[in-house]
Amino acid sequence: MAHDPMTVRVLGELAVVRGKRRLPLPQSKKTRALLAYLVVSGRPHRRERLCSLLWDVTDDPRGALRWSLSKLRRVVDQPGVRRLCTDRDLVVFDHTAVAVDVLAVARELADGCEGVPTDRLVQLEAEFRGEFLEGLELPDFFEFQSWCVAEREQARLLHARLLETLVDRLREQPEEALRRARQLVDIDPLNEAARVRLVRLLANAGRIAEARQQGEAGLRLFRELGSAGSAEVQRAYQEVLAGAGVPPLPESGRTNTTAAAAPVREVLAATLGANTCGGGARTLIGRTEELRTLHETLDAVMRARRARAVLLTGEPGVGKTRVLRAVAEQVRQRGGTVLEGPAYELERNRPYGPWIDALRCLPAVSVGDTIGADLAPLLPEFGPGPPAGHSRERLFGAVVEVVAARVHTAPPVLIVLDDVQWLDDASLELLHYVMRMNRHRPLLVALAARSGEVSDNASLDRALRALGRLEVLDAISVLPLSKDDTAALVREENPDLDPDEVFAQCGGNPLFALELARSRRYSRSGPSPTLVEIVRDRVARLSSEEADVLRWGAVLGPAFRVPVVCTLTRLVSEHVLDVLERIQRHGLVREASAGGDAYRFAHDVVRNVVYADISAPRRRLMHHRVATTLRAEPGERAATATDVAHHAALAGNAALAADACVAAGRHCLRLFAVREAETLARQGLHFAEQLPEPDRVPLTLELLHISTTARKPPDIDAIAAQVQHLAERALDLGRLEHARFGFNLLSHLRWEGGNCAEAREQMMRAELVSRASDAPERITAMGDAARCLAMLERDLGKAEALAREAQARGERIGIEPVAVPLALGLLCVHAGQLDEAAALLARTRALAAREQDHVVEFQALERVVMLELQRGQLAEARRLSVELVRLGTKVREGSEAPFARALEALCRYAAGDTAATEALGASLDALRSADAKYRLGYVLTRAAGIDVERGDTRTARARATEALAAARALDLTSEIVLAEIALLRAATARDDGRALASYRRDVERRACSQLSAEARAAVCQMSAPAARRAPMRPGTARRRRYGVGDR
Amino acid sequence: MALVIVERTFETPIDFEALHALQDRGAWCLDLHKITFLCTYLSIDRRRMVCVYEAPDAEAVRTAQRQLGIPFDRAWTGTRLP
Repeated sequence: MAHDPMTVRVLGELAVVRGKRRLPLPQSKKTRALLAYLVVSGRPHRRERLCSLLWDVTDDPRGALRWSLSKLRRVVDQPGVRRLCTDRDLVVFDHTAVAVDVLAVARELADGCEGVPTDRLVQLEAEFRGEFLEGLELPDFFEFQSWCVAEREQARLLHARLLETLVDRLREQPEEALRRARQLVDIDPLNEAARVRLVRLLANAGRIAEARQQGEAGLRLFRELGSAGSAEVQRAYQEVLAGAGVPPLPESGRTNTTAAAAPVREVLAATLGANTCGGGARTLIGRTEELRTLHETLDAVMRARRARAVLLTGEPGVGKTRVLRAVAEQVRQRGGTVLEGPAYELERNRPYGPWIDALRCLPAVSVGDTIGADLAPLLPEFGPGPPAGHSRERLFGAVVEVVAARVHTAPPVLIVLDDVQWLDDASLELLHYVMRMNRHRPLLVALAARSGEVSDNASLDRALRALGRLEVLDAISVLPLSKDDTAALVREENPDLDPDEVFAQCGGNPLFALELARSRRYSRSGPSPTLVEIVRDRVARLSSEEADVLRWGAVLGPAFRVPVVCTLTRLVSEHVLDVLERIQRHGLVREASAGGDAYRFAHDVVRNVVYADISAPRRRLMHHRVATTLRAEPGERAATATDVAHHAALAGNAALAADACVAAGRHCLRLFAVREAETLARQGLHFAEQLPEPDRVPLTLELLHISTTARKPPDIDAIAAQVQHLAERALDLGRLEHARFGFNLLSHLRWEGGNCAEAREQMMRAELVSRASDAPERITAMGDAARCLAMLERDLGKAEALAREAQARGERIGIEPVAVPLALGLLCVHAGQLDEAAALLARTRALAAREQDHVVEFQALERVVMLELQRGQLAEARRLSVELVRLGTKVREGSEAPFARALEALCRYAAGDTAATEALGASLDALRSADAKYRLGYVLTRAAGIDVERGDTRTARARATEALAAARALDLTSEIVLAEIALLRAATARDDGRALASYRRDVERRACSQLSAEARAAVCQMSAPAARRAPMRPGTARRRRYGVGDR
Repeated sequence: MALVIVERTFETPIDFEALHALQDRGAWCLDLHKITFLCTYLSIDRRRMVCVYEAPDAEAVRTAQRQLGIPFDRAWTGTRLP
């Protein structure tokens, strides 16, 4: 059976044509984008690749992909012909018997236009029905968007080459050449040669006025975009026009960049007055059923004082917004409160955008100070700023309070959220919360969504199901108008038209009907224009100045603020308002809200048409200007950060985009909008990858911070490794602030991953780097860190590395922080290198004394005393302990003084001085009071050893038990082992076999850990048989029985 | 673990945020000593302050405070009474 050939058109709006019939495509943008991607790329793709291209990680991407593929099969597959071929892993589009316009053109022009006959070029030119995938924008999915932009640029260059060739070849047919020359300037407006050629052709054809207009437009464009080359163009224009006998162009246009513009709001109020309805209010035709349902719902809400939500769904242009406005008007007439906020496709990363617009409907004075402060993150004009400890709960609570207050003062309250298929996640969470917390209040929430696009927003889908579970949601389908209603609508606009013919074309879609009624192109005999063509035709009738303003508006977004347009066009506000008023009369724009300074497009179809007709290079330059203009705006507006990120991304300026994504991501985190923050972070990382390393490293660190703060990464180790590499690179690049930032982030990730030891190390590195603003501070910090680790017997390898590095760096610049020899001395003691330790501790004492640092001097001297005790040099230990006591009195607060007294008493106790017993007891009490467990435990363990020697096992056991508890509290392994050995010895002495076994097992278990030389010697001593234990000899550093020296 | 109370007095009113920042920067040191900051009480004239930590002993807190250069008058272990 023969199948009709299939054509896929991507030059212009995406279309699939079989035979002569254009097939209806799924409404979901992502589904259409998937089809376009598969068809144009022409190769197999892994499912994961397609998922990451078009769906968020958190939205069941594989499920969404399967759903989209099932929709597309119904379009492209035929009985016996499978074009979408899939298996578990791969998806591919089979091009057999399928023509794709852009691929066909590219194939034929692969070797250039020169060898292609003119007739064929004309046919190929007709394939260019518009921009590549016109209107199919997915700005949140930057990979797809980047691919689309790149393909668009390729198609544009191909089209430009083709047009240039045709302009040349059709010289003998001026009208045909002129048409192509105009098109060329449209798609490549920055091509000076093309514009000069067009002006020349126009001048030659005697169309002087148009030649002049084109010249003016070109100069204005270059001025607006700050682009170079205007001098050349000016000269060329003057030559051409002089040749045609036309007066030269003026030096400047109607711009006045220095005039002080009146505040826009005042001008707007003066010229248009308050409560002006944009575009002219039109009577609502039809919709009786829908309005009746909504009014009944409103009555029920008031009567029962129970909140409800209503979702209106319908195709684009069917009139959902008009119905919402009618209900809003009803509520106002009842004296109620209306809060309105539309969602915009391009603002999906602007958290709470529609809620901000809705709450702005309230006067700031109606919101109290406390609530105003809590709302300040969203609406700075409502309060001075959030208090410390502000949270998402407080923010949400404040919105609920505002709604509750309005319910009390001006019920019912109607919250209108339009185009919720584009609602951001943060707004959806707030919506659910507001509904939940206001269930027993007369509140009606009216939502409108395009049917078919709800599924593109998985979060919306979930939110609606949640509202369904709360049993507060009703749904109304807004269907196309009936024939009679369509006729009534058309008659209002253009009584001369045959309403039946219009109905046949528009199918009851009110927007299409109105556009047809307004369109001059509409003709009974000609082919039916599409809605896009109709709108394009209307836009083309605007003056060049109106078209310029409209283009800037389209670049800014579905809604735009007048002051920004003034800055971009370099026109004064009165003039811009004048222009906008004229455009408004064409029904293309309307005021965004009464008395405000913003306009919005009458419908996003209008905006899309205007935007699509701007060439890609010009668009990029315009977006760049918008991004830099918004960034330079004084004060912080909630919208600005995300807006800048959006425009910078579309400008293709990677540095600006990445930086803007950082600011926007942080802004979202402040508003607790974590999913938006995560999306922005991903976008920013994509742009940061394109930057050179010195810029890429710090931006990537900041973006990873935002991403990991927004959501715990699934693979912490992978991210941690990446952050570590970046932090090290930041250090190498001298970006110390970012290096510190990176190590702090790494520490946090290690904590999250349960790797506490690693976390501590990274925190320390962060601290070290943070002190690295000048080298001495950093070296001191390293020494302090080494000392800390050595005193706590932690990471001794690290401690030594830090101390050695600090020592080496210090020697290079001639400084010697006191912590360095102290740390090295402690490490030598631990290793049993007592002679080296003594020298280092002596050096520490000298340095500390010079700096009058009594605490460090004490620490050094106490270790010398302990070292002498370890050596068995009792007399020397006692002599030094007397000096230690004197030094201890200089340390104001702490355990120094009692410890010095304890050491002195210990020396006398070891020497057999009975009077020392009381002094020892008193100093131990003082150490207990001071709660200095290490020092207390040290003295107790050594005293216990002496007690065992004297056969006083009871006192020994008591002291050693207390010492063990103290050592365990501090987790000091060496001291734990020494205390246990003391207990062991006491148990041996009293022949307590059970205790003996227990302690021996524990000691043996700890013997493999990193013990001090003193502890290792004690362990060896314990293990040796009693007969073979060598007698103690004074002066030996290793294998000494501690605490007992020569008498 | 013990509850350690640290008393501080200042001749001129203290910049609490600066002090807190100093402690934050030394978080690694507090962590090494197994010290957890719990809360702070600051007098209205900002000249007296009491900080409460959880730590193995008071000496650990003293050592860390000195290491970080944060002045204090006394540090002692206490018990919370019902």
